Amino acid sequence: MTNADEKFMQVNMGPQHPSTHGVLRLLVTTDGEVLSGVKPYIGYLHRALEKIAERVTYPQFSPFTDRLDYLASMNCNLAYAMTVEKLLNIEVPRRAQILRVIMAELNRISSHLIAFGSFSSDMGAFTPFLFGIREREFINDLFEIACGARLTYNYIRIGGVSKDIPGGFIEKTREFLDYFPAKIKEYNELLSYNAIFIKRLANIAVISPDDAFDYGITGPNLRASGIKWDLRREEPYLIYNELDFDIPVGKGEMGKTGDAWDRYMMRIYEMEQSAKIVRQCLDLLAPGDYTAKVSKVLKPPAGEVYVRAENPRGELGFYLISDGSTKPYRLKIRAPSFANLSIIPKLARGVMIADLVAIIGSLDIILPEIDR
Amino acid sequence: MAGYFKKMYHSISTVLTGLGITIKYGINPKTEVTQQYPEVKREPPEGFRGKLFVDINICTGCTACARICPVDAITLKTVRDENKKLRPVLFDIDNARCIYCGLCVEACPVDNCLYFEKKYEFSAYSKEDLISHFGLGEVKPAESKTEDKKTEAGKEGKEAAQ
Amino acid sequence: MTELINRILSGMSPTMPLTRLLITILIMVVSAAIVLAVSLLYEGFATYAERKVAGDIQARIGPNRVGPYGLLQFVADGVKLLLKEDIIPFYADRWLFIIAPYIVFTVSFAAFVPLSYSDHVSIANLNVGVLYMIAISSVVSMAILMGAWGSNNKWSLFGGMRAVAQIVSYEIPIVLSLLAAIIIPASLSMRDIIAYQSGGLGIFRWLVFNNPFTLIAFFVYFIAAIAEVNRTPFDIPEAESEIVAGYHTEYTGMRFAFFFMAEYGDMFVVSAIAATLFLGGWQIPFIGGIPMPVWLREVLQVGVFFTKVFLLIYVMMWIRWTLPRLRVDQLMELCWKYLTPIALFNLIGASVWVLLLHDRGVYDIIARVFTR
Ligand code: SF4
Ligand code: SF4
Repeated sequence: MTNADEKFMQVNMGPQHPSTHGVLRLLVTTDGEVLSGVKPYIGYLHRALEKIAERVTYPQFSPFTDRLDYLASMNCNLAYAMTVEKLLNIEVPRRAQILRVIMAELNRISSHLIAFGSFSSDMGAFTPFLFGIREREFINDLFEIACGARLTYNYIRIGGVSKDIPGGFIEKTREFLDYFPAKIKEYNELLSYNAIFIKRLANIAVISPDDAFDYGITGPNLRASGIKWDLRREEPYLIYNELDFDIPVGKGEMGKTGDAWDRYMMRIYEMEQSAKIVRQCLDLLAPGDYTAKVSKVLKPPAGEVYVRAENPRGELGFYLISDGSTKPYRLKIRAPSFANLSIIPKLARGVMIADLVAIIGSLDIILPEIDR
Repeated sequence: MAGYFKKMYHSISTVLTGLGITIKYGINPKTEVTQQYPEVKREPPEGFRGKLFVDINICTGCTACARICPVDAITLKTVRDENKKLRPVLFDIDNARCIYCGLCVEACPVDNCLYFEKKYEFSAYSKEDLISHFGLGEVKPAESKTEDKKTEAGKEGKEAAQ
Repeated sequence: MTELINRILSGMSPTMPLTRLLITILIMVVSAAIVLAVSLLYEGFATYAERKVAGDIQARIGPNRVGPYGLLQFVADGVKLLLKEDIIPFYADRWLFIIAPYIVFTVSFAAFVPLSYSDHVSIANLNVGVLYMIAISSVVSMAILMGAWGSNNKWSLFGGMRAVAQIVSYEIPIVLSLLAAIIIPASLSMRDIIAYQSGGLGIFRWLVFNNPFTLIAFFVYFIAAIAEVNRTPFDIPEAESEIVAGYHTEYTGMRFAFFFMAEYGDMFVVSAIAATLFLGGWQIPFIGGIPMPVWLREVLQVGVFFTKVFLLIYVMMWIRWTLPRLRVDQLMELCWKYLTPIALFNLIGASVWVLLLHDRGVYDIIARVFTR
């Protein structure tokens, strides 16, 4: 150790730390309160999901995708199902497509609610967290009606969805959509536009568009930097091209474009947009099949596909190689949080410890997806 | 200087707005959303994925469920009885392994044979207690006796499931 | 209490010095025990109240299992903490680590002494009461640093440094704003200050309404006091999401409970100072002028005093469960750029007021206009 090093203190933030969103370990080098370097260490939640994929059949892997980003299981199910469908050339019935959009967008709302809540508790305000959870319970109830599970849904399957929505689902969803905007307004008044909150986040950890491209940042974090890139618009899948919704981008309302406040606010805006999408889909819903005819044993032709979808946390991609057997030859998962995490060491230089928490929270990473 | 006071005004006014929201919740007890769980139990909706149940008498022992299960939670052993029909003598579902994904239920070719119950409270003190045994046990070749055995085993299975 | 001792002793023959000494000590011990019992009871209920208030605000129920309405929750918590293993980290500085919680607790307990609970109920009517309170509450910062340093944990050290920086800084606005009030009754004794605020229906002669400057001073004091007792939005010394639990990260069981109780003790003390100096202490509003038996008056006065204190504590809890937390540098900014200058100018204004109008407040002036 040289003399220069002795000025600094090394602290382990995590894996047991209240605000590392799971089990992320950050080796933090600090000079008092000011950070001089951060090194993330991952792998504490490694379950070898990619290897498991090689050992189970195509339909069997679907429940495992629930466990990628467990706050947005529907979206993960969706991306996986679309990947296999592309390999098998399955045409999904329209009703199933609409149901998929409804579920994916509801799940986007519930995932963003957790992002909002956990971020607020990182910032020291605990009440918005419980408010977020309260609204999320409503969505969980909806999912429970639809598929019987509250967290690991395994609802969107290869070919369609696992079962049709029961009666009452549509009314309940409408009830939620009517009730939700008032709550968003409440969040904004309570937290988003709070002076302390803005002071903590404005101009903190600015990601410039160039940096965002360099590090492969996607999702709300990318859009916060002012880049209008959303796969639902750029490469429309399902019925997204028929739907009318805006893509919110960061404008630097409270400071520089791409700061932590912008990233946080993207999620609030996206919740509003998702609610709008769900409302349109409910109107579009017409009777029909909820799943395509899919044979029980799937044997896709040899070949490889890459499919990506817009997850709440960014682009989730599945790169699937098939050797013609019933099991994938190789499945590579491109997890959005992994790329988003990689920018932390760059952002967390010369900031304070409290800002590091704000950075992690505003990037909204989720560990099971990173470690896989 | 003007900025100084403007900042102060902004901070105070937004803080007061926030306080206004929380006090609304603070003084109105009707806003509580908690359910007092052990006293108030919520009724799971239709199609809730709770504990698995097998109606062993109509199970054909086709093993489709065991084969589709991604986590190998189902252990099945079948023998042929004297009518050359496959009978599941051993049918164990390890509730600790099961991830309640529902693939087995969808794979089962017999209606109302394998299904989820609405039960979600089945904690136990040991891992072994979490395995529900539905199997028929021995299948005797004699017709009449097999019938007796079947119903008994079915009952046992039900009891074990409870 | 000195008066009480004097009164009892005066009835005795002066020829028994030993008995006199014993009786003096006995009275001291008994009154200390009473204060300890009352303060422990208060601290227990304060923890219960905090959780209940949090529950109410967060649309939850809060503790309701132990005893009626969960009122005995603190007993259960206390028993739990007593039974916990008492861990002293191997590399801790044992001596500092062990005595720090006792000092923190003793200090917060000692601050109950000069308070005037009613016309006749007080432990000691110090003629330098306010000064004593300010002085003794500064000792806390030393004890916290001892505990933090003694734990030999980096997070604790962070917390300790933050706590000391914060408490020392915020003492300045506190003292300056208190001065603006003290110069009017021109006394440091709690009882004299309260006695000065009689009349005006028991409300309008409160020092907070005396002149515009005392009104501002009250708010400055209250904000700084929240910071002094380390509560959200100024809870950076124990910011859970940043530095785990701050200075008491390594403490377990009863030692942790001492820190915990001291926090609630401090809340009482700062609220009691606010009530005494600004809100008329035990002056009974509206019906104070009606003749009534002495015992009833005393009971009412104690009741009024505690009501005022608890209302202020409620406000502190309400603020805590609403706002996010400031960053450490912003905290200092608030102190040095806002509160201290405001308090300073305020003090000048108050002094000029007193110089020109002597101790006549707004109410006195209006009252005089009307009586003429
Ligand atoms: S629900 Fe899923 S995990 Fe459970 S037994 Fe059936 S297939 Fe296996
Ligand atoms: S799939 Fe159904 S019928 Fe076949 S073995 Fe399983 S439970 Fe029995």
